[in-house]
Amino acid sequence: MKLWLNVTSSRDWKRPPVGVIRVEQRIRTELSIRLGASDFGLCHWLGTHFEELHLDELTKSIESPARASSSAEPGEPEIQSYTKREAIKAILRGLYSLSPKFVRKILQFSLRKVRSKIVGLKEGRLSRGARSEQRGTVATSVLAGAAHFFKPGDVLLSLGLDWDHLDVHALFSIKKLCGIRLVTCCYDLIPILFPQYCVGDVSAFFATYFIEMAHSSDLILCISKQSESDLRKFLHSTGAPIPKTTVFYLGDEIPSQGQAIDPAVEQVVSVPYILYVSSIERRKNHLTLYQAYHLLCSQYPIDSIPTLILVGMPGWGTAELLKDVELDPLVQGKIVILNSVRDADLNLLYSNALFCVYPSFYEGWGLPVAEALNFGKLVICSDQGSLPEVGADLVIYVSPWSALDWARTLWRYFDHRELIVEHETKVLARFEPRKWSESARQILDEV
Amino acid sequence: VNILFLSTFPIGNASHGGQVRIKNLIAKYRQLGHRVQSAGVLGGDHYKPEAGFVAMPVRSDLDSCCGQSWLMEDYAIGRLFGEQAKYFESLASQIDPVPDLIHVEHPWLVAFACRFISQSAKPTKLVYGSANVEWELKLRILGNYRSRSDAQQAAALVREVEEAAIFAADVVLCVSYSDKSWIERLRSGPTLYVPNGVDRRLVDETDRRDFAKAHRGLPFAVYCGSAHPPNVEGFFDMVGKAFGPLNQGQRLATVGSVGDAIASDERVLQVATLAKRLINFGVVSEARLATILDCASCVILPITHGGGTNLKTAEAIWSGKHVIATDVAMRGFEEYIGSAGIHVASDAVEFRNLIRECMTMADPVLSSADREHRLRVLWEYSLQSVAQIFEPTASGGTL
Repeated sequence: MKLWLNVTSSRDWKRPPVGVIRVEQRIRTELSIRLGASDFGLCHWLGTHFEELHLDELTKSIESPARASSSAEPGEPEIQSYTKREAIKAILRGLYSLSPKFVRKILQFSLRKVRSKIVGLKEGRLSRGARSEQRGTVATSVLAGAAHFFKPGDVLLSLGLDWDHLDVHALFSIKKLCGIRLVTCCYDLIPILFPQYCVGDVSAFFATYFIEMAHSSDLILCISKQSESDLRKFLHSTGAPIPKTTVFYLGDEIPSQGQAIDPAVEQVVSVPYILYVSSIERRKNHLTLYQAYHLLCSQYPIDSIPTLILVGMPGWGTAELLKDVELDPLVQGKIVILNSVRDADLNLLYSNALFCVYPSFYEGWGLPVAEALNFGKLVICSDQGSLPEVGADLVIYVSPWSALDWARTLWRYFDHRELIVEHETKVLARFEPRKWSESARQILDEV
Repeated sequence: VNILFLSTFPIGNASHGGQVRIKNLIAKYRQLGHRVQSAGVLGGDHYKPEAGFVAMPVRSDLDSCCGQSWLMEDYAIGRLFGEQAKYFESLASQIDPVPDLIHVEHPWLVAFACRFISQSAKPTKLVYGSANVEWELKLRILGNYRSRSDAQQAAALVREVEEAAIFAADVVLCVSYSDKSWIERLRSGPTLYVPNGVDRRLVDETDRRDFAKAHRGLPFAVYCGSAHPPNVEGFFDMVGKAFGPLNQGQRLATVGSVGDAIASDERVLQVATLAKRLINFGVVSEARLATILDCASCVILPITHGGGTNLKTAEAIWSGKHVIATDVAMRGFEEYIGSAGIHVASDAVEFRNLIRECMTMADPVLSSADREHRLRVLWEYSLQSVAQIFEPTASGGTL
C-alpha cells in the first residue's frame, strides 16, 4: 500500500501559503519525514487524470512568493499583485457586483446553463430526452490515464482546494477503476451554511461537491468537531451516505527559518498594535472591528488607541468597507492593511502584538486563533462556529454582532494593560500547542 | 343499461391516470353487460379530437366564468356547458339515445348532466365519480401561483360545484377511504369505494435485454407520472435543494410527461447533483414501461399534494420493486404499508435516505401471501364494487 498525496493546489499556488495551502504543504512535509519513498508519493491532477509529481518538480512550480506589502500610507488599502487569472476573476466579480439585479439574474441563469452544458460535454454526455439512455458515467478513455501508477489498495489523500482543482465526479470512477482508497478533507461548509458571504450563489456548487465527495471517500478528515458535525448533518439532510469521518487538528506552529524581515513590517511593529490575521471578506466581519474602532476613536484620545493591523488579502464584498476605512477621518492612521505576508513577518507580527482579535461570524476551525495562543497572546474572539473549540477558556469571547461590545472589550484591555499580561500568563501556562507532526500522525493512524 | 360516460378528457389514447381510470371503468361497465357511450369536452388543447367530445371553449369564454381561468379551465368548462345554451347544445347533440345512467367522472360536467336529465322524460340515474377532494387540490395548486385570497376564492367556487355533484348523484364512487369519509359526511346515499388499479403487464425478455444494453446497466430509481402540477411540485419538494442519495454511477429516471415538465423546470439546475443524475425516458409504451419498471432498482412516489389516489402507486406496488412513497402517495393503499419493499417516508429527508438505501438492496422477497395480496391492485379486483351500482337497493329497486 502506498500513500499518495494530491498536491495540485500547492502546485498552482503562487503566494505565501495560507489556510488550505498551508495544511497541504505542512502535511506533505511531515508525511515525507515519516514515510519512505516506497510508501509515500506525490501526485497532481491534470484535468483528466493524475500523474506522479516529484518533490523537485513541485518546488520548481511554486514560484518565490511576493514580499509583504503595506499601504503606502497607514490606513490606505494597498493595491495587491494578482496573478493573471486572479486579476481576470477580480475584474469579472467587480463588473458582476456593479451590474443591475436583473442583469445579474440573467447572468446567473446563463452561467448555470453553460456550466451544465460543459459538464455534459466533459462527460461525453448527450442531451436529455430520447438520447439520454445512452448517458453513462465518466468516459473510460478519460480514466485510462489514472491506472498507470495507482495500484489496488493504494490510498489517495487529498487535502487541497479540491472543489477548484479536482473533478470529484471523475474521482468516483477512478477510485472504482483503480481499487484505491480515497481520503479527503472537509474544512467547513460555509458556502452552504452561509451562502450570503460568498460570491454569487455557490451553495449548489458546494453542495454537489460535498455529495460527490461523500459518495467517493472512504474517510473524510474534518478539521474540527464543528465541521464534522456540519458535514454529517448536511449529508444526512440530502440523503447522501455518511462515510467514516474523523477530526484531525491543524498544527499551529509557523515556520520562518532563514527568512528576512520585510521593512514594511518592521515599520508597523514599531508602535503598539493589535492584530487580526484573516483574509478580508464579509464573513470575517472586519466591519464590526472597524465600527468598534470608530467608536473608540470618537470617544478616547487617539494616542491611547493602538493601531489595528489587518493581515490578509482583500476579497469580494469588502470594497465599501475598505473605502470607509480609507475615508473615515476618525480612524486615519489607526488601521493598517498588510497583504502577502511571509511566515517570518507573520511571526514578528504575532510576537509584538499587544493582543489578537478574531471577530469572524463563522469558522470551520480558526487557525489564527490557535497561532496567536501559541505565541502566548490574549485573543478577543467571536463565539461562533468552531472558535470555542479552538479557544476553549483561554480566549475572551464577544458576540460578533455587537460593535459596541467589541469597543468596550477592546478599551478594557487598552486601558488596563496589566490585564493583558495577566491573561498571557494563563495562556502560556495552559495552552498546549498542536504540532503539524501530530496532525500527520493522526492522519496516518486513520489511514 | 345504456350508460353515458362524461369526462373532460378523451380516452382513445389513455396515458395519464385519469384517462386510464375512465378507460377501465368503461371496460368494467361493458364487462358487466352494459352499453356505454363516452362523451365530453376536450379539457385541453393537447388532446386529439375524439368522437363524442367537443372542442375546448376559447379562452375568452372560459375567462368569462371566473375572471382568470388559467388552472381553472375545468371549473370554467363546467360552468359553460351547464349554463350556456350554445355549449349545452353542442355537447347534448353528441349524445345518442337518452341514457339510463350517466356517469360523470370529476364534478365539472355534473351541472350539464343534471340539465340534460331534467330536459328528458326518462328517470336517468346519476353516478358521480370522484377522483379527488377537488377543492383541496385546487387550493394547493393555485396556492403556488396566486395570492392566498385568490386561491381561496377559486377553491370556494370549486367546492360549491363539487358538493353540488355529491348531493345530486344517486351513487358516488370514490378512490380512497379518506375521500369516502369526507363524502359520507355530506350525504347519506350510497358511496362506493372503488380504488385505482393497474393492468397486468408482462415484460418482454428481448426488450429487457435491449434496454439494459442501451442503458449500460446503470442502476436507477424511477419516477412515473403525468405533467399534472402536483406531480412536479411533489418531486421538487422531495428532492430538496441538494439531492444526495445517488452516486455518480446511479440515475434517477423519469417516465411519462412528468419527465419533460421536470426537465424544463429551472429548479433542475438549482438542486445540487440533480441535473447530473436525471435521465428522462419521456412518454413510453406500456410494454416499455413494464421493462423500465422491471429494470429499476426502486420506484419513487414523491406525491405531496392532492386527494384521491395515485394510479402510479398501484403500478409501483404491482412492480414488486422497492417502493419509496410519501404517506399522501399511499392514500387508498394503506393496507400495503409495512408489506415487503414498501417504504413510507415521513419527511423529505427520510425519503432521500430511503432512496439511497434501496438502491443497493436486492429486490424484496415477496411471500405467496404478499403476492396474492398484491393481486388486489389490479383493475380486475379494484373495480369489483362497481357492480354494486346495479344491485337491488334497500327500497327494493335497482338503478
